Amino acid sequence: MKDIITQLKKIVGDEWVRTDSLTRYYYASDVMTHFGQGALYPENRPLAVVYPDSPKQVQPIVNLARKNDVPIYPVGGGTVLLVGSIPGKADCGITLDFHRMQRIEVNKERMVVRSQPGATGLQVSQLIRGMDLGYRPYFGGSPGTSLFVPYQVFTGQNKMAGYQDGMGINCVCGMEMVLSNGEILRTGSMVHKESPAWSHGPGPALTFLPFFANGGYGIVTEMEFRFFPTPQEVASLWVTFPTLSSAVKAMYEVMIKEYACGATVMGPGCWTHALYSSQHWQEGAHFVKGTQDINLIGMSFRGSPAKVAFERKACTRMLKEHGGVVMPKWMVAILDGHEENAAGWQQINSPKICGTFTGKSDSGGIFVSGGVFDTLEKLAVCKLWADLPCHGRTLQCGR
Amino acid sequence: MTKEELLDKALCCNRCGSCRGVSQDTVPNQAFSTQCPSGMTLLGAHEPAGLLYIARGLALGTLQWDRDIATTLYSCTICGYCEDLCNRGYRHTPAISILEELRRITPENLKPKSLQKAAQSITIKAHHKLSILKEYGLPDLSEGGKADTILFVDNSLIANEAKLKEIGFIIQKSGKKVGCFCKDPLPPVDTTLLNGGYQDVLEECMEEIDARLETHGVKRVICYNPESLSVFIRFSNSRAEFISINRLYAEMLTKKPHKKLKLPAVTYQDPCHLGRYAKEYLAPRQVINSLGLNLKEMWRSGFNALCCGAGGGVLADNPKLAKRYARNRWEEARATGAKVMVTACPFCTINLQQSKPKDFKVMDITSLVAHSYGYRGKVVAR
Repeated sequence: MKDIITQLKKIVGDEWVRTDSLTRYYYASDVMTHFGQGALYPENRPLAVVYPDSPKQVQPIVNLARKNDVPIYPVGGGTVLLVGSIPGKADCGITLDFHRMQRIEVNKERMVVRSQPGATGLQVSQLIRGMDLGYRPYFGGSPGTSLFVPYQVFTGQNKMAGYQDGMGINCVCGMEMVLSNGEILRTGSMVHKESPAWSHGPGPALTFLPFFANGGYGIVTEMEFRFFPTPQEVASLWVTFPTLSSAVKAMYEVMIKEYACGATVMGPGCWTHALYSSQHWQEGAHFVKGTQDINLIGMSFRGSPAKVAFERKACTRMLKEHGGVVMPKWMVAILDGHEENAAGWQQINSPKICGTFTGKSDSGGIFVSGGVFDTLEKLAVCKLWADLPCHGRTLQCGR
Repeated sequence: MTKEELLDKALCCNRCGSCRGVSQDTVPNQAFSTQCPSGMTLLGAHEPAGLLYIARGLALGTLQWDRDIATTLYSCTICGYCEDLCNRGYRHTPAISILEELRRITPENLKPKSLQKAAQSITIKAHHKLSILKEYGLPDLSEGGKADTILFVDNSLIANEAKLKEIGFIIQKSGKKVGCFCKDPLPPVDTTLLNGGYQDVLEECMEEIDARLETHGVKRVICYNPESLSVFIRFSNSRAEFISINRLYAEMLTKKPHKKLKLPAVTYQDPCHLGRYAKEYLAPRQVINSLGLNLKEMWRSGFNALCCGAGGGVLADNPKLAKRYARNRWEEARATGAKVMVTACPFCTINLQQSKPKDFKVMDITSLVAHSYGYRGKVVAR
């Protein structure tokens, strides 16, 4: 392994090859390796962590790994590694962290954004937002993760936008990949610098292939995403229910009448993404994570101002018939970020409602701290916080 | 803090990445940008989550102390931005208390020697130059003088003749009765003890300070060094009010005539312990405005200000690294078109001075105020 480390240092420079105990531990663990009661997944440390700064550096690393039979584990955004990037066995392999590869290029002519794997969804969508093009890419998933993470691309779910822009995979139109034999493959729109944002060509229509191979083909070093029009108007609606059953029935009625574009149902021990769209061929709903014990539906609307107003009014009436109570504006303020999701910008993950205001985490490190707002009364406590001029954006270090 | 408590706090972090930087959610019309000085420079385990994973690993017993861990831990400037961002959004990870606890439990042989030495100097009161303040009419409370407001003298000031003269001059001009413990100074605390992991010594010093403030009936303590202000706000149990010296300047400039300064456009570096910890964002800006200076803010300013890289003992332990961190800040300063960097912290001043571009000047806000009132002494950087 010493020889491999020496050669890696020659490729990327001494500083960017790390074998110290903390780095190896950091890349061996995540929220799943310690889960309150015990590890769900073992902490497997890589032998080294390498930070390449270009596809040209990735190529020799892949060649070196192949010649020496060393597995490679790529990390994009590096947030919530969630198992996929942790070595399959202890003291094994090289972890590639792409944090030095964060280049983002927007091509207005071709209506695409090209990103390297180290850039996070939030970086990309906010850069484009600042350009005010009237168009934007669509990314589901968490804001801090790389766009190259399979769950971003695969499920690409954004609970408030539903499937209106499709899944994440529908938004990728080309990629550059260093194959395991060291060759560089460019697909779809990335084959030619003037290619349209068209995932089926003019290059080989292989863009979707790697997603179904769990990284078996190689390492994606650049990816292009197409644009969608920015919605003219966006609104959200938040309604509480006496029981989960009444919330689900209400949601079902909204879905079959094809109103709104995406919704979340929260109930005791569950958080359901009712991912559907009245304008798209894909519909679905699945339970994702345990969280608040409030029976709550949050949904969003987008389109022309008239359409949004009409749908919102119709849904309000429909949900009220099932015992729903529309949440007051100050409560909705706590949930802000969701209209951003509905507009298709990178989701903000309902920062206020997910926050642990007590400073305690009783969730054992899981995604959302559970039980913080398990009653509306507890949520009401946050009114004080929501009323602060700084809107809670202060550091509580004056202890 | 027990291992269980440390683990409990460390597990608040789920590596969502919010601590990495400023996003449009918090700074409208600005793209995401990384913010942690060590994380954005050294990446990987140097990011906030990496530092918190030290706590997790040690508490679980899956990580053992070694030189690499200590080096990573001491590369953090404890600017507090990670905790601030975490608190603004997704969760609340008490990053500062975790990092300080890690420094407390760092084995002595792994602690940087420079920080150990600096921490020892806090309890030594020799070689001070505080008699200078008496020349400017500041009553000495340790010799029976009376004043309900005092100037607190920290380690950066205690033997700094030139800066003491500037401050003495300003206080004299203000016409306010401000005293000082000159003959027998108060322990000159700042964050040095926290940086070195000697919180227990800091608490002892604080008890002594609180007792002496109470005995002498001190109601208000003016701090020159933001790091001292920050530790007072966090650790003092005194009934006295602790304020930044910038408030005195700001108030004085609105009431006492002074000359406007002629300088090129300036930008202002918010010291982390003045802004983020003590919430004093306004006073230094009021001072700059009153001095007639054209302030051009860097895009990460106020509560989103980027640390200069000096904090957490990084400047004392690894000046080259502190200089490297400062380069990030200088890039933003240059983008403003300003030619003068004003700051209100002695450590920011040193670090920005040692890393500044050739065409920039770094100036301490105290020096600017002194000169606007006609102080003729030599301008001192700190």
